[in-house]
Amino acid sequence: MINDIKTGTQLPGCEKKVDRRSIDLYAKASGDYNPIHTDEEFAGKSRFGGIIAHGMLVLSYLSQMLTNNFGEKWTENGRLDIRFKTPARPGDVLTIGGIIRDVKDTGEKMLVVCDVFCRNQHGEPVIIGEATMKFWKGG
Amino acid sequence: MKKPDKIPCRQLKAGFELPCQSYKIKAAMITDYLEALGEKSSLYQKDNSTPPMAVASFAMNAIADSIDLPPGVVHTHGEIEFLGRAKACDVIDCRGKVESVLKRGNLNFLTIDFSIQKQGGSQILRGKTSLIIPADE
Repeated sequence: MINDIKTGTQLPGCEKKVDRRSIDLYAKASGDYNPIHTDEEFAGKSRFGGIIAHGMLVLSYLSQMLTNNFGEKWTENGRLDIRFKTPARPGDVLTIGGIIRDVKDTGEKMLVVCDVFCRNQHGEPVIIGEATMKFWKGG
Repeated sequence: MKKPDKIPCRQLKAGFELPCQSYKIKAAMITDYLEALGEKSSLYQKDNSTPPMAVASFAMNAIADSIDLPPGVVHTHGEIEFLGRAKACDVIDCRGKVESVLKRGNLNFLTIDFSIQKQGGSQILRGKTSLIIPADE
Protein backbone atom coordinates (compact mmCIF):
# COMPACT_ATOMS: atom_id res chain seq x y z
CA MET A 1 0.00 0.00 0.00
CA ILE A 2 1.20 3.48 -0.82
CA ASN A 3 1.77 5.85 2.13
CA ASP A 4 3.00 8.97 0.38
CA ILE A 5 -0.12 10.46 -1.22
CA LYS A 6 1.13 13.68 -2.77
CA THR A 7 1.42 15.13 -6.26
CA GLY A 8 4.25 13.60 -8.25
CA THR A 9 4.43 10.32 -6.32
CA GLN A 10 5.09 7.40 -8.63
CA LEU A 11 2.80 4.43 -7.93
CA PRO A 12 4.63 1.14 -7.51
CA GLY A 13 3.76 -0.67 -10.72
CA CYS A 14 3.84 -4.23 -11.93
CA GLU A 15 4.63 -6.35 -14.97
CA LYS A 16 2.28 -8.84 -16.55
CA LYS A 17 3.02 -11.36 -19.24
CA VAL A 18 0.05 -11.92 -21.51
CA ASP A 19 -0.50 -15.56 -22.46
CA ARG A 20 -3.18 -17.70 -24.01
CA ARG A 21 -4.02 -19.30 -20.68
CA SER A 22 -4.90 -15.94 -19.09
CA ILE A 23 -6.92 -14.95 -22.14
CA ASP A 24 -8.81 -18.27 -22.14
CA LEU A 25 -9.46 -18.06 -18.39
CA TYR A 26 -10.71 -14.50 -18.76
CA ALA A 27 -12.99 -15.59 -21.64
CA LYS A 28 -14.39 -18.35 -19.44
CA ALA A 29 -14.90 -16.02 -16.46
CA SER A 30 -16.51 -13.18 -18.40
CA GLY A 31 -18.30 -15.24 -21.04
CA ASP A 32 -16.63 -13.14 -23.75
CA TYR A 33 -15.70 -15.69 -26.41
CA ASN A 34 -15.30 -13.13 -29.22
CA PRO A 35 -13.16 -15.06 -31.76
CA ILE A 36 -10.71 -12.16 -31.97
CA HIS A 37 -9.59 -13.38 -28.51
CA THR A 38 -10.01 -17.12 -28.86
CA ASP A 39 -9.85 -18.31 -32.49
CA GLU A 40 -6.40 -18.29 -34.14
CA GLU A 41 -7.79 -18.71 -37.65
CA PHE A 42 -10.41 -15.97 -37.37
CA ALA A 43 -8.04 -13.57 -35.59
CA GLY A 44 -5.28 -14.26 -38.13
CA LYS A 45 -7.53 -13.05 -40.95
CA SER A 46 -8.75 -10.00 -39.02
CA ARG A 47 -7.21 -6.53 -39.15
CA PHE A 48 -5.19 -7.46 -36.04
CA GLY A 49 -3.44 -10.36 -37.76
CA GLY A 50 -3.68 -12.62 -34.70
CA ILE A 51 -5.23 -13.15 -31.30
CA ILE A 52 -5.42 -10.12 -29.03
CA ALA A 53 -6.17 -10.02 -25.30
CA HIS A 54 -9.54 -8.71 -24.12
CA GLY A 55 -9.29 -4.98 -23.44
CA MET A 56 -11.11 -5.62 -20.16
CA LEU A 57 -8.46 -8.15 -19.12
CA VAL A 58 -5.74 -5.54 -19.57
CA LEU A 59 -7.90 -2.96 -17.80
CA SER A 60 -8.29 -5.47 -14.97
CA TYR A 61 -4.48 -5.58 -14.64
CA LEU A 62 -4.54 -1.79 -14.30
CA SER A 63 -7.23 -1.97 -11.63
CA GLN A 64 -5.19 -4.66 -9.86
CA MET A 65 -2.21 -2.28 -9.73
CA LEU A 66 -4.46 0.41 -8.20
CA THR A 67 -5.83 -2.09 -5.66
CA ASN A 68 -2.27 -2.96 -4.67
CA ASN A 69 -1.58 0.74 -4.09
CA PHE A 70 -4.82 1.98 -2.54
CA GLY A 71 -6.62 -1.15 -1.25
CA GLU A 72 -10.31 -0.78 -0.46
CA LYS A 73 -10.21 2.96 -1.15
CA TRP A 74 -9.85 1.96 -4.79
CA THR A 75 -12.28 -0.94 -4.91
CA GLU A 76 -15.05 0.97 -3.10
CA ASN A 77 -15.00 4.34 -4.83
CA GLY A 78 -12.46 4.35 -7.64
CA ARG A 79 -13.16 5.82 -11.05
CA LEU A 80 -11.37 5.09 -14.32
CA ASP A 81 -11.48 7.00 -17.60
CA ILE A 82 -9.25 5.28 -20.14
CA ARG A 83 -8.52 4.75 -23.81
CA PHE A 84 -7.39 1.52 -25.40
CA LYS A 85 -4.56 2.46 -27.76
CA THR A 86 -2.79 -0.71 -28.93
CA PRO A 87 -3.97 -4.29 -28.51
CA ALA A 88 -2.05 -6.61 -26.18
CA ARG A 89 -1.05 -9.94 -27.69
CA PRO A 90 0.03 -13.29 -26.28
CA GLY A 91 3.74 -13.04 -25.45
CA ASP A 92 3.59 -9.32 -24.69
CA VAL A 93 5.10 -8.16 -21.42
CA LEU A 94 3.09 -5.25 -20.07
CA THR A 95 4.35 -2.61 -17.69
CA ILE A 96 1.55 -1.08 -15.64
CA GLY A 97 1.94 1.98 -13.49
CA GLY A 98 0.90 5.51 -12.68
CA ILE A 99 1.75 8.78 -11.03
CA ILE A 100 -0.31 10.98 -8.70
CA ARG A 101 -1.13 14.07 -10.75
CA ASP A 102 -3.25 15.99 -8.29
CA VAL A 103 -4.51 15.84 -4.72
CA LYS A 104 -7.55 18.03 -4.08
CA ASP A 105 -8.92 18.86 -0.66
CA THR A 106 -12.68 19.37 -1.01
CA GLY A 107 -13.36 19.84 2.71
CA GLU A 108 -14.89 16.56 3.79
CA LYS A 109 -12.77 14.44 1.47
CA MET A 110 -9.57 14.28 -0.55
CA LEU A 111 -9.70 13.56 -4.26
CA VAL A 112 -6.62 11.81 -5.61
CA VAL A 113 -6.15 11.94 -9.38
CA CYS A 114 -3.56 9.69 -11.06
CA ASP A 115 -2.33 9.37 -14.61
CA VAL A 116 -2.23 5.65 -15.31
CA PHE A 117 -0.75 3.62 -18.12
CA CYS A 118 -0.09 0.20 -19.49
CA ARG A 119 2.72 -0.18 -22.04
CA ASN A 120 4.00 -3.14 -23.97
CA GLN A 121 7.63 -4.27 -24.23
CA HIS A 122 8.14 -1.93 -27.22
CA GLY A 123 7.10 1.06 -25.13
CA GLU A 124 3.83 1.40 -27.04
CA PRO A 125 0.84 2.55 -24.99
CA VAL A 126 -1.77 -0.18 -24.58
CA ILE A 127 -3.96 1.84 -22.21
CA ILE A 128 -3.69 5.44 -21.11
CA GLY A 129 -6.01 7.34 -18.85
CA GLU A 130 -6.92 8.70 -15.49
CA ALA A 131 -7.86 7.10 -12.18
CA THR A 132 -9.61 9.04 -9.44
CA MET A 133 -10.51 8.02 -5.91
CA LYS A 134 -11.95 9.67 -2.84
CA PHE A 135 -10.51 9.53 0.65
CA TRP A 136 -12.93 10.59 3.34
CA LYS A 137 -11.13 12.44 6.08
CA GLY A 138 -10.97 10.45 9.27
CA GLY A 139 -12.19 7.40 7.35
CA MET B 1 -37.65 -20.06 -21.37
CA LYS B 2 -36.55 -18.97 -24.85
CA LYS B 3 -33.78 -16.38 -24.83
CA PRO B 4 -34.96 -13.13 -26.46
CA ASP B 5 -33.61 -12.43 -29.95
CA LYS B 6 -30.54 -10.24 -30.09
CA ILE B 7 -31.01 -6.64 -31.19
CA PRO B 8 -29.63 -5.93 -34.67
CA CYS B 9 -26.94 -3.21 -34.67
CA ARG B 10 -28.85 -1.20 -37.28
CA GLN B 11 -31.71 -0.73 -34.77
CA LEU B 12 -29.46 1.02 -32.29
CA LYS B 13 -29.91 4.77 -32.03
CA ALA B 14 -28.97 7.29 -29.35
CA GLY B 15 -31.35 6.87 -26.43
CA PHE B 16 -32.17 3.20 -27.19
CA GLU B 17 -32.55 1.31 -23.92
CA LEU B 18 -31.16 -2.20 -23.99
CA PRO B 19 -33.10 -4.88 -22.13
CA CYS B 20 -32.01 -5.39 -18.53
CA GLN B 21 -29.79 -8.44 -18.12
CA SER B 22 -29.79 -10.15 -14.74
CA TYR B 23 -27.41 -12.79 -13.55
CA LYS B 24 -25.99 -14.42 -10.49
CA ILE B 25 -22.30 -13.94 -9.75
CA LYS B 26 -20.96 -17.47 -9.44
CA ALA B 27 -17.97 -18.30 -7.24
CA ALA B 28 -16.41 -20.22 -10.16
CA MET B 29 -16.47 -17.07 -12.34
CA ILE B 30 -14.60 -15.17 -9.65
CA THR B 31 -12.06 -17.99 -9.27
CA ASP B 32 -11.39 -18.01 -13.04
CA TYR B 33 -11.15 -14.22 -13.10
CA LEU B 34 -8.66 -14.11 -10.21
CA GLU B 35 -6.60 -16.86 -11.84
CA ALA B 36 -6.57 -15.04 -15.19
CA LEU B 37 -5.10 -12.02 -13.40
CA GLY B 38 -2.81 -13.90 -11.05
CA GLU B 39 -4.60 -11.89 -8.35
CA LYS B 40 -3.81 -13.00 -4.81
CA SER B 41 -4.96 -9.95 -2.83
CA SER B 42 -6.28 -10.78 0.62
CA LEU B 43 -9.20 -8.43 -0.14
CA TYR B 44 -10.83 -11.21 -2.14
CA GLN B 45 -10.10 -14.05 0.25
CA LYS B 46 -12.66 -12.82 2.78
CA ASP B 47 -16.47 -12.69 2.62
CA ASN B 48 -16.61 -13.98 -0.99
CA SER B 49 -15.84 -10.42 -2.13
CA THR B 50 -15.72 -9.85 -5.87
CA PRO B 51 -13.19 -7.54 -7.54
CA PRO B 52 -15.24 -4.63 -8.89
CA MET B 53 -13.56 -4.92 -12.28
CA ALA B 54 -14.75 -8.53 -12.44
CA VAL B 55 -18.31 -7.30 -12.00
CA ALA B 56 -17.67 -4.69 -14.72
CA SER B 57 -16.34 -7.41 -17.02
CA PHE B 58 -19.30 -9.76 -16.43
CA ALA B 59 -21.79 -6.92 -16.79
CA MET B 60 -20.31 -5.43 -19.96
CA ASN B 61 -20.38 -8.82 -21.58
CA ALA B 62 -23.98 -9.37 -20.46
CA ILE B 63 -25.03 -6.02 -21.94
CA ALA B 64 -23.13 -6.57 -25.20
CA ASP B 65 -24.66 -10.04 -25.42
CA SER B 66 -28.10 -8.49 -25.95
CA ILE B 67 -26.87 -7.01 -29.25
CA ASP B 68 -26.25 -8.95 -32.44
CA LEU B 69 -22.61 -7.88 -32.71
CA PRO B 70 -20.40 -9.29 -35.46
CA PRO B 71 -17.22 -11.10 -34.39
CA GLY B 72 -14.16 -8.88 -34.04
CA VAL B 73 -15.67 -6.10 -31.91
CA VAL B 74 -13.16 -4.37 -29.62
CA HIS B 75 -13.27 -1.74 -26.88
CA THR B 76 -11.80 1.67 -27.60
CA HIS B 77 -12.73 3.75 -24.55
CA GLY B 78 -14.10 3.10 -21.09
CA GLU B 79 -15.29 4.94 -18.03
CA ILE B 80 -16.03 2.95 -14.90
CA GLU B 81 -16.99 4.15 -11.45
CA PHE B 82 -17.12 1.77 -8.49
CA LEU B 83 -19.93 2.60 -6.09
CA GLY B 84 -20.21 -0.52 -3.95
CA ARG B 85 -19.17 -4.14 -3.60
CA ALA B 86 -20.74 -7.36 -4.78
CA LYS B 87 -20.20 -10.86 -3.46
CA ALA B 88 -20.46 -14.32 -4.88
CA CYS B 89 -24.11 -15.39 -5.18
CA ASP B 90 -25.36 -11.79 -5.48
CA VAL B 91 -27.77 -11.29 -8.37
CA ILE B 92 -27.10 -8.15 -10.35
CA ASP B 93 -29.14 -6.21 -12.90
CA CYS B 94 -27.20 -4.71 -15.81
CA ARG B 95 -28.82 -1.87 -17.72
CA GLY B 96 -27.46 -0.18 -20.81
CA LYS B 97 -28.53 2.79 -22.89
CA VAL B 98 -27.06 3.78 -26.25
CA GLU B 99 -25.35 7.14 -25.98
CA SER B 100 -24.24 7.41 -29.59
CA VAL B 101 -23.69 5.52 -32.83
CA LEU B 102 -21.19 6.97 -35.29
CA LYS B 103 -20.11 5.61 -38.66
CA ARG B 104 -16.63 6.29 -39.99
CA GLY B 105 -15.60 4.48 -43.14
CA ASN B 106 -16.37 0.81 -42.69
CA LEU B 107 -16.34 1.04 -38.90
CA ASN B 108 -19.17 1.85 -36.51
CA PHE B 109 -18.50 3.38 -33.11
CA LEU B 110 -21.07 2.46 -30.49
CA THR B 111 -21.07 4.07 -27.04
CA ILE B 112 -23.23 2.60 -24.28
CA ASP B 113 -23.91 4.06 -20.82
CA PHE B 114 -24.38 1.29 -18.29
CA SER B 115 -25.48 0.90 -14.72
CA ILE B 116 -25.19 -2.14 -12.47
CA GLN B 117 -27.39 -2.66 -9.46
CA LYS B 118 -27.62 -5.43 -6.89
CA GLN B 119 -31.11 -6.93 -7.00
CA GLY B 120 -33.07 -5.38 -4.16
CA GLY B 121 -30.09 -3.23 -3.33
CA SER B 122 -27.99 -0.32 -4.32
CA GLN B 123 -26.18 0.70 -7.49
CA ILE B 124 -22.68 -0.79 -7.39
CA LEU B 125 -21.17 0.38 -10.64
CA ARG B 126 -21.80 2.75 -13.51
CA GLY B 127 -19.88 3.74 -16.58
CA LYS B 128 -19.61 3.99 -20.29
CA THR B 129 -18.04 1.78 -22.92
CA SER B 130 -17.22 2.55 -26.56
CA LEU B 131 -16.93 -0.28 -29.04
CA ILE B 132 -15.55 -0.42 -32.57
CA ILE B 133 -17.78 -2.57 -34.71
CA PRO B 134 -16.32 -3.70 -38.05
CA ALA B 135 -18.75 -3.63 -40.96
CA ASP B 136 -17.22 -6.84 -42.27
CA GLU B 137 -14.34 -8.83 -40.83
